[in-house]
Amino acid sequence: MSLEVEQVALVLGGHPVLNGVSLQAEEGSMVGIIGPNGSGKSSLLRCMYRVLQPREGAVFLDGRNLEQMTARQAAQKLAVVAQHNDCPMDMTVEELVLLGRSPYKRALEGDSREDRQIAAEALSAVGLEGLARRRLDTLSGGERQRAALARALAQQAPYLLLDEPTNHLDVGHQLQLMELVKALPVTVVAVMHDFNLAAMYCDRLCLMNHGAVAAAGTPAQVLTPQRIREVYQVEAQVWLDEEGRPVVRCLPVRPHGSDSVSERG
Amino acid sequence: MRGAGLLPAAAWGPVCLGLAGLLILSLGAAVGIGTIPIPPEDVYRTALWCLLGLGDGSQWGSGALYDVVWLIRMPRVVLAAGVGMSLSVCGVVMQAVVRNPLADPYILGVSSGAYLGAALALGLGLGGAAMGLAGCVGGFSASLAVLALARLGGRITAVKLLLAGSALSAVCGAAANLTVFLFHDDRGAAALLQWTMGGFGGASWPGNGLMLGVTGLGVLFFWSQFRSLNLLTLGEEAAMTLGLEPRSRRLLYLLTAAVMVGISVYQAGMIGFVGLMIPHTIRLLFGGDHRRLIPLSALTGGIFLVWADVLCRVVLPGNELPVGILTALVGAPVFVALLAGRSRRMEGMG
Repeated sequence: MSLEVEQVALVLGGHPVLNGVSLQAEEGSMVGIIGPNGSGKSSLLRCMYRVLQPREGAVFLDGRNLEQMTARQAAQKLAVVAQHNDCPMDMTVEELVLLGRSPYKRALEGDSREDRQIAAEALSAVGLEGLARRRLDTLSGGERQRAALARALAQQAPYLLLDEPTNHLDVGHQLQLMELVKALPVTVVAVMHDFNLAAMYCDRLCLMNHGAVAAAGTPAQVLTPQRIREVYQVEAQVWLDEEGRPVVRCLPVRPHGSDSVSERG
Repeated sequence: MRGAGLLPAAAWGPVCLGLAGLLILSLGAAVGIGTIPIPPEDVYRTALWCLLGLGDGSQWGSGALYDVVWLIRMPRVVLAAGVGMSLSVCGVVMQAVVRNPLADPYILGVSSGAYLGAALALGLGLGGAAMGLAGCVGGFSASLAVLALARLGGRITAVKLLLAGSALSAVCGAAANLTVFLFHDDRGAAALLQWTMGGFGGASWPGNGLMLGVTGLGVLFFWSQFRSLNLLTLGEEAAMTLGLEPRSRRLLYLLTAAVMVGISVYQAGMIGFVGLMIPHTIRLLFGGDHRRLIPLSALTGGIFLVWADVLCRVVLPGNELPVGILTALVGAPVFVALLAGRSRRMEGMG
């Protein structure tokens, strides 16, 4: 029971985006994908949820090649919260979350009592139980993000893929969401920006740069000052907390000769 | 349960039954209205005899009343109802496929494609069923062309689809007019002019049979697809991660809609904005769930065009207003209002 990405290469519009990326997520673990803008994080995730087809390599779910599954089979295994959640016209939060049950539905089959129960539980898990009847276009960005997570939870899939799940969320809701996701009995792969949040919650990190894996391992192995300088071109101070997880503070790199510039000014 | 609309969503079932009843009453009342008014009771008795063989055949199955009710007025009113259903449901489907409430068979150029197909058939000297078929092929091709145009440069976006639709509409309209001009056929030109304005004057039972069959099957098919249509409104990626193959579905739905629109255009010409106004109103009242949207829009669209046609028949004494002009007069401002409201909302969000 694991998710494996093997030597995935992806070309978009003639440009190589991913060059032989491999990644493994053990059952029940949480893997964070970090890296600078344009390093291929989201593209890698989108290969994992079948929206992009890799030119080489493949993604395996429990040993089965993802490309050989139907969309429906894949949807029963994989739930996704994408980065941009378009707001559909005239839909309530509850209706959105109930759509998470679609992979299990035959044609003409309506929503059962059980589906409603699952949707209600998903909504209370993300703290939106009071907003079930609200229209999606009246929600704030953060509420919409949590509604999208509730929809993914209602899918009851063993794998959960998240693209910058804490985007739009304030600090309280960021921690709440990560706690919730961490407590789920599922395997999680999440694209993240925040080093500290990633270090706190992920079992393993995969640092991407220029479409390749620059480093992979535990947060303490990946988040070192040298690596951060190489990949992000920023200085970083890293401490380890009592659990051995890194705490990172980033500082701008002073360009060489900046003193002489300020003297001239 | 409350939905996303102004009315409680749970009311949709009873409302559907009410609308079905209203549609039947409207058919009877609309047949009764004309230069010789006919009481609704007589209309229903004639219809009962003709459809089910109930009642006294010697009284209801022949004579002047039978001719006026069953051979002249009823086909026209039934055609109006069928076209209204077809266009409303195709509007709902196209809005889901394009993920934009501004879509409509007329605006996406499907109607113009059907019109061009029929005009070419006319230019080639074909008539009758061949023109209907050419209309379907034209609508079909226009759908494919709109999709292909909108796909240029990568992903389909709503803006690209609307632009592609209006461009295609212009091209098809010009090509159809060119065909008429080149063939110098006055009779053909008159027929085409009528087509561009839309109307139910040419209705007959044989033509209605095909029209009603296709409309009925189409509406039931799209109703059965409510979940997939709901998923499509979430966008291609989200629909895919919820187990739908959006590309093949989108093609299937557009092609089915094109057949429905093609037959509508062949039977009644180009009638715009019905597929825009009716779904918009239903969404406002009952929310965007296609389980409710499809049947409610079908019934409301049918009732709407039946009464629009009645209005067109009585508004000018001794003459008839083409129904396409009426729907455009009412619908175009609705379109502009929708567009303005949408732009304002977008700005507010940006």
